[in-house]
Amino acid sequence: MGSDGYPRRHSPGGGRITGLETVRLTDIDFSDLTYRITTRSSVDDLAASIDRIGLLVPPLLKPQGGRLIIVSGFLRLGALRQQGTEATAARMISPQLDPLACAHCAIAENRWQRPLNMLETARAMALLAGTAADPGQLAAEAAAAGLPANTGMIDKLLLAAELPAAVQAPLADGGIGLAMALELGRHSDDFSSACATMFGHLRLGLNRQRELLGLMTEIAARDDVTPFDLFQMDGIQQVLADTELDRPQKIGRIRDWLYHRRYPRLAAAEEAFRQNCRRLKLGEHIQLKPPRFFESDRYAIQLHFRTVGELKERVQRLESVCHDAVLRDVLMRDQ
Amino acid sequence: MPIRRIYIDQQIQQAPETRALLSNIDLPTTVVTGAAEVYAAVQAAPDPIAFGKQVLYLTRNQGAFVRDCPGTSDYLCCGYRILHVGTFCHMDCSYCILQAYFHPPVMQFFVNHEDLFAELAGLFRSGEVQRIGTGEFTDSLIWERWTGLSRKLVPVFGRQNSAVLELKTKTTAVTNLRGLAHRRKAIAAWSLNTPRVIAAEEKRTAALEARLEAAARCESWGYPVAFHFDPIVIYEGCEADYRDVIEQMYAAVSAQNIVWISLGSFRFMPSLKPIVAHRFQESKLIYGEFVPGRDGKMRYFKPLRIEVYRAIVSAIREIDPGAPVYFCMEDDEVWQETLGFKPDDRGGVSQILDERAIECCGLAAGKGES
Repeated sequence: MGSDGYPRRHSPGGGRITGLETVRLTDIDFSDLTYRITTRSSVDDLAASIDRIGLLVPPLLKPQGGRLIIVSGFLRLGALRQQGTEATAARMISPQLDPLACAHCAIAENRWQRPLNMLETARAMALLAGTAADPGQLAAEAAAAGLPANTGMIDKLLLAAELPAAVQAPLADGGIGLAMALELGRHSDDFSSACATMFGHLRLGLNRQRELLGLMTEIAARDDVTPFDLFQMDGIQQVLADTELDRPQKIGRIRDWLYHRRYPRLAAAEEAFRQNCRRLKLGEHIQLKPPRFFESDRYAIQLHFRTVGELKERVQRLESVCHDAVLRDVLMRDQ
Repeated sequence: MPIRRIYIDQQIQQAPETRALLSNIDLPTTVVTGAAEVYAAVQAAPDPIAFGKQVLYLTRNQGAFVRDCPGTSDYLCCGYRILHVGTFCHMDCSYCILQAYFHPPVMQFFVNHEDLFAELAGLFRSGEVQRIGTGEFTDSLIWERWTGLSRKLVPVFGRQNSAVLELKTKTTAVTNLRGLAHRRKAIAAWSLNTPRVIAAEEKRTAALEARLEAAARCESWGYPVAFHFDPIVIYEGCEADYRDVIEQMYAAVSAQNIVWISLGSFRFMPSLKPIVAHRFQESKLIYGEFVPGRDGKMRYFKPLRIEVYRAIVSAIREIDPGAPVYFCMEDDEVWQETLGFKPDDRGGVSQILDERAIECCGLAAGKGES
């Protein structure tokens, strides 16, 4: 039994945990985030829970340089500090325990509480990478820690751990996936952050994210502006700021603005075709389909009918369309 | 890019063509058991494409020397045939499809010329009109400095009457063509482009003026000439620039001696795009208004192609109303909208060009060697 009233416990695992002690929060170096894996920041719920039922699992601390650093329990300690707690029970790690072992402790404590999100996995991997002697050892330690051990995935996670905070935030909450986060990471911090925020806010799927990113980067390359300069233009900013538009409308308008800018003649031809089709008044059961990208000169008609009577009626409509001057405008190739 | 090392297939290490080439080039050599070793060295480089331009692999052509041009589906092809003397080249054009076509791209020169000439002899015996070129998988004249290949090829074509050899190049390496018994069966051809495109996208190639000067020299030696505006690149002001090139072209050579002028706008397999974006980061070429064509290649939106083709054809026709213009890999609509007819109206692209070759180069179908 310790002097604080908590029973001393011997922990398996090679004597990593030397015991349970009561520590003053002022003795803890909250600025040392070396072993922080969690991406959560809010501690209100946790503080309320600790208030109700107490601290169930003491944090894991290690003596270092005259102070105590947190190996696991950043949120618990944050909640206690928010409550004004002055002292708490904590499990102590041997000061001699090497960084690799500490990393494993931190990872294990997090992994067994909940599945790690992509950014937490990246942080865990970066933690191991900082202690591994070579890629081979890193893969082995990753496997032992229950993290991906495939070299390609390890490389991606390490890159993700270095991304700007504004790109990491949507990566953590699922707003963007790892692939897109890494693509964004190839761009300037301001652009990647802006895009990540927009993608997360608009909840775009990966294909749409790729489409918009591709349009922006290609327009920027063609027009000798930075992608961030393009992102700052009214065509995007005014849409994002427009509170009258819902999310799908914003997505559509931004995409259309970029598409028209990237493919002005093609977009104009498509719009002209749509307008001419409206003028033809084909009705809802007849669709005139242009050649793909207007590359060939073959158009197609799709005609829907249920009865012979409907078929006759729609065929008659088509016959009258054949004499419509608008059809010549539709088929006119020189646009 | 300068060649830095020569790899020699051990099978042809003692071949006379190998010894002759090595006597003209003083570089470190490595004998290899096969192409795999060369490919491995190229693939291991940080920029395999750039590395592939700095090595030369001497080997045998294991397959046919004369092949149909790969052409494309869904568009009209001209029935051109390739004489496969080598692959890739040491110049560095951003748009070069060979960067994506070969895996990996490696400069190769085939030294089994006995087989090459035997195959040509068989071809000539057929008496069928053929248009054959060496400039599809490589530049026709980059090999001259080390091999003098044209000194062998041109006279061979000169001794028959059914086929023409087109030497298509972006160089000025024409010295070896002087004095050869070509009998107009070899066509000296140049890819042309605007100075802006040459400077931005055709690294290490000859300047426009130099190419035209070389064409004029070949004309003075009696060679028919041809020009290929391919790839035509669309940018603001390009029509005026292409007009200038056309005027310079007609100032350099006589209209009657031009066998054909081909036009082809920039088109590319999608796999080329990341290569260009990575290797030529200053280039804006791939950011044009491209759409997928019917053959899967990216092409300028068709109205844009037709506009620039019309401008170029108009510039040509103002100087030479009867100029023999044709399109590479375009469809009937482009021909009709630009030239006013479809190839089938005149027997097809292949026939049009065969007739031109017969007229300009003295071919006689059905008559093999002279």
